[in-house]
Amino acid sequence: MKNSQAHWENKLWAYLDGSLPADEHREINDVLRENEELRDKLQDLRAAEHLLRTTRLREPSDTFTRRIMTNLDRTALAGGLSVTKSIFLLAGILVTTAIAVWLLSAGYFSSETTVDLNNLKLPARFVPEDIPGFSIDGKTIVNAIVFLSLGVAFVLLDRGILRPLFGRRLQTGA
Amino acid sequence: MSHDPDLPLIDRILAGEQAVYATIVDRYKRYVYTIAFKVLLDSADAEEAAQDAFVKTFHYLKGFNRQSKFSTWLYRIAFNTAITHKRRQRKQHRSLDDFDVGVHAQGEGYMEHRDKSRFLDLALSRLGELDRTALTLFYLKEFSLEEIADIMGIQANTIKVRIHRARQRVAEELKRILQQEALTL
Repeated sequence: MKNSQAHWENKLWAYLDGSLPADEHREINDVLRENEELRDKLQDLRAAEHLLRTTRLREPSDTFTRRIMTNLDRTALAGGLSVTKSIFLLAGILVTTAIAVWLLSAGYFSSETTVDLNNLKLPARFVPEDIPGFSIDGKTIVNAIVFLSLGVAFVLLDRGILRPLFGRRLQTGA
Repeated sequence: MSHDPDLPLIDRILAGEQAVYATIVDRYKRYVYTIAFKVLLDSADAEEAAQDAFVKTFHYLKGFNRQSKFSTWLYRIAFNTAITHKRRQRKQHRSLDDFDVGVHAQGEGYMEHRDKSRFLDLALSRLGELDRTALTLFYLKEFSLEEIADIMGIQANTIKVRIHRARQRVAEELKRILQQEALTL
């Protein structure tokens, strides 16, 4: 029953659009003459079609164009890294990180250094007599710098390259 | 690709004549705004989305591959920007159901036109934004089904079915609205 109703509705829309072949057009006319329910349905569709054909373009505000042109200048001044510059910066960070990792593995930062603050000759009333010294492990520091650089590289890859590229594709559908 | 009247202007903009972009904006602002409005159903939001779309289009201009018409490409950006805005919206959109479809002493002809327009807007507001946009673009009579499909990023066959179902839904909603209106008289 539902299929039959949908079938006739589709036919009526095609009838309204004038897209039915001549023989089907005649058939619909014959059915409409006999069937009051279908005639009422056609009237409803005709009313909807008539209203839909009144669709018009809407008008934005008077300042629309001026605001866009102002925004263009503003976004140009704001600058920001282009994708190309981001790629170069990322490459630089990765090369530096690779060099640091190579130096680490070659043992260049293996030695420990002890810093003796007592040699600084600080005023006695502000500091205790014997300031304990501390060791600096070069390897730990360079490891920390390497991990920090990788974190920065990841953020740069995400914000400076992938998001602009994929965002552009989503917006333009390209 | 047949002659696109916007290409000479685009070439000038890419050559550095930024002020020429105002001509492009004036040429297409009504279409872009209408598309944004049909998605967002709010004039302030639609204007913001339409402005964003034009700014984005300007910045992506170098990447325009000229395989489609510039206008189709622009409308696609406008549609996608409006959809993004809609997803970001936190506030509840005020439904047109909240508006009072009352009678004002303005004269019968004006009232009749205004009522019909409000009834249509109310019926359209009950559709999803994709159906609403597809139907609007179809009835503006400026776009082929292929262009509408291109703008919305949907297959042409799917657009045909979507428009057909949307028309049926509008007819049903209009009947319901007019019946309700008759009951309140």
